[in-house]
Amino acid sequence: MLANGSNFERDSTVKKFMLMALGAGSMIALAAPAAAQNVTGTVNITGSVAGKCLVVPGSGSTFGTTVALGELADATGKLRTNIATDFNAAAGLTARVVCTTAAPTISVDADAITAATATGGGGYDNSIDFTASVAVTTTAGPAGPFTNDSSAAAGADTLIGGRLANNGSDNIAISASNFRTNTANDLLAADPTYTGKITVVIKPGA
Amino acid sequence: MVTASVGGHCGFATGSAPSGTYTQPDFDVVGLNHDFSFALDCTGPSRVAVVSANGGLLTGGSVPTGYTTLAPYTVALNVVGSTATATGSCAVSTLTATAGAPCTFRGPVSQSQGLLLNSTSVNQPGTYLRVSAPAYSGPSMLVSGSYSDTLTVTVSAAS
Repeated sequence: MLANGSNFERDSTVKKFMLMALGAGSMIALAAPAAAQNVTGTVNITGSVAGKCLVVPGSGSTFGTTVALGELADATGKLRTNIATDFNAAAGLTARVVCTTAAPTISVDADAITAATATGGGGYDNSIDFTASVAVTTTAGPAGPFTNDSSAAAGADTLIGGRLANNGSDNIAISASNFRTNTANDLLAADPTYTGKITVVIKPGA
Repeated sequence: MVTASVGGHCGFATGSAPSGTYTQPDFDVVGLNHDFSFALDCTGPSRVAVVSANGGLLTGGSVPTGYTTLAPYTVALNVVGSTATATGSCAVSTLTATAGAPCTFRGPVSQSQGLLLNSTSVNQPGTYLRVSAPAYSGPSMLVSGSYSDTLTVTVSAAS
């Protein structure tokens, strides 16, 4: 019995020790800053930019000007020989166009300068053909010129060959040359209004 | 005698962690505007922080000078507590892990880093993460494509 009592006391001591150890462990666990644990949430944002071309500054879709050439005939009644010089000296023949795409296209369509009502024939002409030319600057350097003669069908969409330069300067420059009547000796038919047009279309491409 | 202390807890309320996807086609034209609502479950002061994976909406590829593949936007936090509200707003470029001049609530969160809410907040309504941007007007042209970013939001008890 005495031995059992001693054993009981030893067991009791051990149990107290274990209880204290458990108590100490509990204190550590309860004192741990569980609040410091981070938790995480995740959100995703997605969007898209469409292929498009813009006239800048701004976000316009057109650019252009009107070139008034004045009297088209010289003193002999024939087409002035300095029409091209006058045209190419006009203001507003440049523009800045940028596209979001890597492979934009361009088409050029020149329409002859034609009298509103006067008719031609028999040594007279009521229209002036010319060649339109568009020089383009890409991020890699000059491209083109892309041309179309007013006597030909409209130019087809053609790859420019790179991204349009976006460096703050104009990257489209229009010029014209080879203004002419049907024959060099034709006289221009009198008409107060001759009109022609150059249409340049730049598209995002594929 | 055994003594013990019980620490508070802090996290997102059950089922109310920030999550989801916001998709905005043509964001360069129409901008961005979306709130991700969430709720905290913090029995003491807390901090909330955000990390952006890309520092903006990013699309792949490399582009020449004058063009860009990274679109900026703004990230705002509005954290509502029982007795206070904490707000902050930063450019997303300052929320990347490597940002040189990071936003004050750039994560990852710690007891001393993140937007401080000096109040308890247990399922308080009105807490949100907002992403916004006007129509893009940067000098460089955004290229066409699909863009994305991921924001990671973390919360912790404040010290």
